[in-house]
Amino acid sequence: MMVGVVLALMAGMLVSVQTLFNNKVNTAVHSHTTTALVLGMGFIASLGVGVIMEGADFFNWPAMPLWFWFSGLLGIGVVTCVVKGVRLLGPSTSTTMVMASQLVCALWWDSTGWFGLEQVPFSWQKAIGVTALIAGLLLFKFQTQAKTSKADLSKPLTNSAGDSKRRSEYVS
Amino acid sequence: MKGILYAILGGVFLTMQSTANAAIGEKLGSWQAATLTQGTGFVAAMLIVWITKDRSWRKLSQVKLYYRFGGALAAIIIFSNITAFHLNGAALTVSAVLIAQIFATLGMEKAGWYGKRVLQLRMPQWIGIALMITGILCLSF
Repeated sequence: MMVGVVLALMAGMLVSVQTLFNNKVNTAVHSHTTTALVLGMGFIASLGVGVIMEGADFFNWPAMPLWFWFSGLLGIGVVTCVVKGVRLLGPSTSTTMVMASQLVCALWWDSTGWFGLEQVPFSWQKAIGVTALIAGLLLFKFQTQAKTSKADLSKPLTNSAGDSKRRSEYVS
Repeated sequence: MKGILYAILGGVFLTMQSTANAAIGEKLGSWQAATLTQGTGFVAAMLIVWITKDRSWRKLSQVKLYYRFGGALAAIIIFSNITAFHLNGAALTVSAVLIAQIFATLGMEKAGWYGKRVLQLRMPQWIGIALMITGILCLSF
């Protein structure tokens, strides 16, 4: 069990590292280019690991429904929204907000059985979970906002001093 | 306000993506699925760069080399995720990933890695974080 927990914790930390790196890329280039680079790197890395781990089996592709080919569009939505969210809200607020939205959507779609999901009934535990999640986010965010109004609002949240000159022309 | 909209949409896309990935994973191997979704995403993203006449890639040389490889971390993330799922199942894995992500992001922002505006964590923030973790655990298990 420990190995699994350590791997999961590592995955979570690496997601944060990736968000940081993407943000740094986005300080120099537009978010369209950032998204393309991130997905391109992910594609090359997954292809490489797939070939190494599975060998010839990797090239054995079954017939696929047409929509499989469009699943990548969701990745564009994810990377673009997360990069822009981090830039506009700051990393911690954005990350927790993305997470809350993610969990609420999952709960919502599970309870309604949308997208062919197996319907999972709404329960008291889930009601408490959603309430705690949103209350926690508001508490976290409310204070951050109050502090921001006193701090320097004229500068974009996520730029370091050196980056802001380069970035300024892309802030929309 | 725009930032909040992006963050909420990001969460919607993430959940749609994991739903789609689960369906794709029933037909393809995990690495085939990852290659397909990121490969098609890459092609479409390049089309968007081309259509919007985004020439900012010329400034990519200003970005430190290792930052440009951030996307490749996806392979390690996917590998760890798959293995953890296999060992512990969804509930423990999902909640551990999310909690680690919260603390890592807080740590990085606090350390000033995102720029000089340093995050201040006071009592309400810590209570907020504790509540969010409670929420994550209640929703995952």
